[in-house]
Amino acid sequence: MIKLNNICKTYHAGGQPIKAADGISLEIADGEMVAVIGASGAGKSTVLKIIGLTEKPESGEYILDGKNVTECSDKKSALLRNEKISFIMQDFALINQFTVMENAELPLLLAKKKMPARLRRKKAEEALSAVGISELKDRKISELSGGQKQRVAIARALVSDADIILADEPTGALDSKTGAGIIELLRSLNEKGTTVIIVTHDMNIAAQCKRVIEIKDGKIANNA
Amino acid sequence: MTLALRSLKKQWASFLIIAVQIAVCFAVTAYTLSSVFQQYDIVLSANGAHKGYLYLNSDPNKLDEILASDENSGRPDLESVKEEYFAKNNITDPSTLTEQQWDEFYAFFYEKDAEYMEKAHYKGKYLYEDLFAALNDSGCISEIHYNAALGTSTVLIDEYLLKNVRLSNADISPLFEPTEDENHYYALMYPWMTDENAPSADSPPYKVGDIITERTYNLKEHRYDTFTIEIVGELSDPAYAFPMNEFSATEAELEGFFLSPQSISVSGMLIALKKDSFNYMDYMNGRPSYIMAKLADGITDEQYDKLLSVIDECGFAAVNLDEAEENTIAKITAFVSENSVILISSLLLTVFSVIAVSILSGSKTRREYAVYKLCGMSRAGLTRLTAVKWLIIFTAAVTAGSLLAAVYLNIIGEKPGYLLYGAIAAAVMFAVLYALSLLMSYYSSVKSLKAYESGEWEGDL
Repeated sequence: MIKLNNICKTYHAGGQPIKAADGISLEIADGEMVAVIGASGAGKSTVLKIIGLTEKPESGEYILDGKNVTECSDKKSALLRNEKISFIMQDFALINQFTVMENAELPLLLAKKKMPARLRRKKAEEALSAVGISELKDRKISELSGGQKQRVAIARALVSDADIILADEPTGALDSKTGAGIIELLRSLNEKGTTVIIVTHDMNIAAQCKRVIEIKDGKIANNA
Repeated sequence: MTLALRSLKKQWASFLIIAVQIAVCFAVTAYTLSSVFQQYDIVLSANGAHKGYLYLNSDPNKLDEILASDENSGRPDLESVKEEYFAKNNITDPSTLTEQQWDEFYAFFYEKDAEYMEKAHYKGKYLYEDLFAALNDSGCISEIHYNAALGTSTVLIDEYLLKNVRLSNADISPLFEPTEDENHYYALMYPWMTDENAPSADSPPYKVGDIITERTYNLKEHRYDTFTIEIVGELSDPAYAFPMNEFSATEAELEGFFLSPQSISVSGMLIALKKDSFNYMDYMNGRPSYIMAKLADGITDEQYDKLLSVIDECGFAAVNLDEAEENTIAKITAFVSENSVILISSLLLTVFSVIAVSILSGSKTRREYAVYKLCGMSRAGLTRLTAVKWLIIFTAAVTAGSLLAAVYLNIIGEKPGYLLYGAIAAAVMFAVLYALSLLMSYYSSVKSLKAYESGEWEGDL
């Protein structure tokens, strides 16, 4: 369960304060598939970053699985990201010089509980197989298409058994057919119980989610 | 560690370049520092024994002037004697001369040379007596040591000089302790023997206990004599002594005299005891080659100047070893100053290399670190990763640099004895650079994360 209470966050651009989050409160239950929509600069990515514990709010409260994580340490935030949260980004967030396998096993390599290399690779192979790219495991990221890269990112999420997937414009760099395939993969993960939160401009993608939250000027304009 | 090694492996080319740069810079720094340490260590430790000593040479130029002012002409040279001999014996084609005829010619030449030498050494004896008196009159002599080359590779000395000729901390081998109750002459033997008794490259070097024969020219009788010498000890390495080639230095050459490690450091110096009894001064016809005089404590400038004046009149060149010490310090300072340019340059090059690589690999590193952070690496973890990566690079570079410096020293034939100190000092400097590069790399990597946190999410992870 994700619960944000009256979250505020202000950025400064060109000396001017910009309220990216202005008293945002919302709840996302486990296993939901939620689309966060809004115009550029509305504050939707800020909400995603706060949920992903890569950013702290100035005020307000963030409750994750019943625990207040608003002020938790960098170390604790990193641990939660490693064990509970996965990111799927528009630019894929992969390390280009690493192979597909090496990218996929990254969360396991960074896990607090160390895992033997053989087991790591086995889990990564299973995840790559689940997203249909096991044959590409030894390829470098730079040799893959956009759709294949995004599948690697999803495989990475699968490897860590993340409870929450945060997807920021996951199809933004893909053609519509490939994008549809990615959304389908996310849907299938959601059906298995993973909470999926997608930030998107694309209303077609939003329509495939069970719930849509619209953010406007740092506030929730619609939560249906 | 796994991630650090993987990261290095994936970007091995760029890291190899920086490692090679650091290695070369480290080698240059270590070599330069070791050279500086060597200069200071050898020369300064040697200087400690110099206080109050005056080093006198019989100046051949001055002696010639003095001799020429008498009825004597200069020393006969081989070619002019040849012309005279050939004319006298009606020899038109020297290539037809038999071996026996050549022997007769050389006997003729040595006879003429001996005539000159006898006069010169008579004069030398006279001058020496003047000098001896002047030194005594000046009240600035506690001991006077005379010695001369015996053969081409040994120097005869008495017990006192044997104890004091060592200019620094070289120890006499415990196998040998000079006695004080007998008037023995010892020989300091250079390991590179050049006379007919010298061991060949294939024969083992002389060692303590060996009894050898040594040939030298008898200046009084004008003939070669053979002496028996027993090697009774050795000076521990490195021994410091005046180089033999300084024996006939002129006043001009002694001006600015300084003690360089190359000229005063001798390795494998042997101590030999002259077995035959003889009166050395009589044998040498009273002609000293060089003298070391210990100046009286508190000698005034006036006394010193007067002494120098007498020394000059007697055809000697002298250098005060206190002044030599000043010259030496000046030389070292100049050396350090010259090398500091190389030293500073190599350090700057290293700094710029690290900066350049940090900047060039910055975008790759930023992206890589941002991904690590998203996947659950803390800032402390990122710092550790950076530290391990650079530690591997620096360790490899420093190791390679040390080997490089050692190989270079080996190629140029220098002993790498001081390299360890140079490498340690360089390692300290490079540890500071490592810390600096770590900070830079960390700053570079977290910069993007800060940017990420300040809202520059879109399109720039």
